Amino acid sequence: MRMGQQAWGWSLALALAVGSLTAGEEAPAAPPAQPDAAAVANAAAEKAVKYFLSQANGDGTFGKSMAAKSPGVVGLVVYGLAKAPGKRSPELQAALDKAAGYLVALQQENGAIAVPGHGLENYMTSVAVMALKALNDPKYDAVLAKAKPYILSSQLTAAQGYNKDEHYMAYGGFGYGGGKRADLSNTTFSLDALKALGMDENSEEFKNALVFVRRTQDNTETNDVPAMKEGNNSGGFLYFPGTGEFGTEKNRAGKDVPKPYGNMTYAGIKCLIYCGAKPDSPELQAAWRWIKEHYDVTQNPGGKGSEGYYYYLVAFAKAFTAAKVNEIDLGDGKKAAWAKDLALQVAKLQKPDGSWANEAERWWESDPTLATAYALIALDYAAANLAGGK
Amino acid sequence: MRGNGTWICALVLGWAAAAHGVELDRVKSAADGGANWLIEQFDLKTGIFGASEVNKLPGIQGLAIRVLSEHHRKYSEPLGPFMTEPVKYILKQQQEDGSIRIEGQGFDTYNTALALHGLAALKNPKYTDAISKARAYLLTAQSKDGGFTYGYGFRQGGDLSNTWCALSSLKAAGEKDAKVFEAALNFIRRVQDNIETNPDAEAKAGPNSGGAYYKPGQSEAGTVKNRDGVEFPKPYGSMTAAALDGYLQSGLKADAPEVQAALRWLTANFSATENPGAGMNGYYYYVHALARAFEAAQVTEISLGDGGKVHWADALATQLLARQKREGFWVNETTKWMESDPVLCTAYALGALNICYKQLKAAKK
Repeated sequence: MRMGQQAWGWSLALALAVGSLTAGEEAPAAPPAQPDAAAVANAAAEKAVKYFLSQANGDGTFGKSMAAKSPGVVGLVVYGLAKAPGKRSPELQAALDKAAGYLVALQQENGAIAVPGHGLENYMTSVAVMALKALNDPKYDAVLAKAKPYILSSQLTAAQGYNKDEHYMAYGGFGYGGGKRADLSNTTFSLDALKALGMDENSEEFKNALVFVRRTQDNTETNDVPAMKEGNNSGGFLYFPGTGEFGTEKNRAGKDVPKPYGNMTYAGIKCLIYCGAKPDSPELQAAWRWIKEHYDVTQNPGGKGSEGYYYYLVAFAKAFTAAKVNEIDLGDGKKAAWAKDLALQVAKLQKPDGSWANEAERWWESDPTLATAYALIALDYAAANLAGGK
Repeated sequence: MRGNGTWICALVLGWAAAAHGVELDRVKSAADGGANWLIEQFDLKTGIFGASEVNKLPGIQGLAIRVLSEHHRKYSEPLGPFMTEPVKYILKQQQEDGSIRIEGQGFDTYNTALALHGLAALKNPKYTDAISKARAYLLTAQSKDGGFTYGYGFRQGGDLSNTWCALSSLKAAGEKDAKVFEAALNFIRRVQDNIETNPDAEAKAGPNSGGAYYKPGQSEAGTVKNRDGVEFPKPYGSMTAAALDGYLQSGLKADAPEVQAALRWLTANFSATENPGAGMNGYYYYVHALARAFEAAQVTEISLGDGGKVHWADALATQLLARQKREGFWVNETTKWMESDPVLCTAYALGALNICYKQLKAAKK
């Protein structure tokens, strides 16, 4: 699991060499060709699509777990399937139509696409919007128009009694929809949905979101939150100002400060870009510095084991895509092509039936429907990048 | 998807508990579900949690603020108006004399103490003046017998419930006057059925169970007969937990005979399903008081009469999870002592669950 890209290359070379020798032939003189990452990504995505088709329940949902009935999970599957590389088969189109119908039927009076009382309404709605929008069919326009004000109502601003100075841990961020708390995870999903609906950095809403996003970054130069002035100035991001999800680390003075980590840092980069930050802005410069020091496709850096790994892959792929970056310089002459690295690693973790599942239960990633949806979305982005590079 | 407890409650019940003990994640999710519900009761128009008449009491708002600040998510003012506005509401209710109360509503000591405890829990220097004024007021509610009374109009004779509540707040607000705590100790000794340490002549006839009751010679749970058939105030769980915590806050050590006797009663009568001795009356007050008392006494496992052992935090958490409503709140169908109010019950339950979560997390390490 923790094997890096180079180690992977080595082990492949070794495997080929051993294989050749066992066959009694001479070892190849030239290093073996790298596998074609685009072909690997496409093949893995195709297997994932087949897996979901085999898991279709007929009611628009996929898979057998209880979470599979959640509109959030259905939405992620639809989004992953809709963006999958290659031509859409009639069977897949039919499954997508069915699933979209399932989501549409769950829209509430207030515009939310969610099961009332089950919580996470804003996540559900944002994901459903991304899914329906990805189907690119005008018949969903009315549903999407009705969902938009609901998502906007989850943003914590003056209308909700939030004040920029007094409520500096929440102002401008998006929350669960009911809990009246904001976090970067809900914010990244909300901004994705709103951007898909045509909003951009010139809106008041995105400007307010930027206030929140900047305050989640461990970057003393641009973060005005007192509790964030004592960090290590690493450029990484947290769940919300002053709080992470993976505990603390020591700052230079030996004090415990919340530890930034990968999935939130990639989410932070994408949000900054959506909110209009330029590549040379101090926020993005600092964030990329963190990424260069923590570049990893095998785990969520700064996290714990494989917790949240598949969520991480999506955040990773979306951030590089939003930044229009194909390759990053890791220093010491090393470069990393994120889409290739992601595709090769994710394909390796795919189960024979085309699914993925996380060993770590946290955030429900041990559920194959959810993990496979995340993995497919990440592969979709990687495949698009690799196809564009040709 | 990440984050919050309602998801677990709603969707993943099937992934339920392990065979032994309650799963830590489920306790955490239940605490999140409770906090989210409480926060959703916050109304920007009124600035307080809840909409009932009872919810207007500043003490209830203070209790809600405190349990949220003690929550594993460490709620504080910068997180939103649901923290800042109830605080402003509390400060607005502070009277010239330092009490925090609504004129004519009574419960002056409770309101001032619980509101003060909420303010103190936030550790915000902005409230220093309000805190010292409230502290000064509370001291005027300490009766000559060392117990705390309801406040104005009730200068004579304290009761254990007001006393425990006042002591907890004073301690949290940094009260250092040893005389206050010494006097309180003398009072608590007089409401405990413990012959060795209760100085009252009438108390010498008690069954010597170690349990505590409401006032000297008076229980809210009726009477028990001693060996000679004489009626005697019946000890019960909430007051015995209050006595134990009150003793420890007032400076007694774990090996003091009063403390040992109270622990003996709470162990012998341990229940996570009712307020022992009082049935469902005051159940949520009891679980909150018990969790605080056991935490203060640094007790983790208790030995039951039948030779079995129970991890009290596990037992309390299991019951609280089972009683939590789908929406995240708790309420007592037995309405005594205002426990028909879900904001109050949820605050008590969350106060207990916060402690259970800390205990279970520590036990897992």
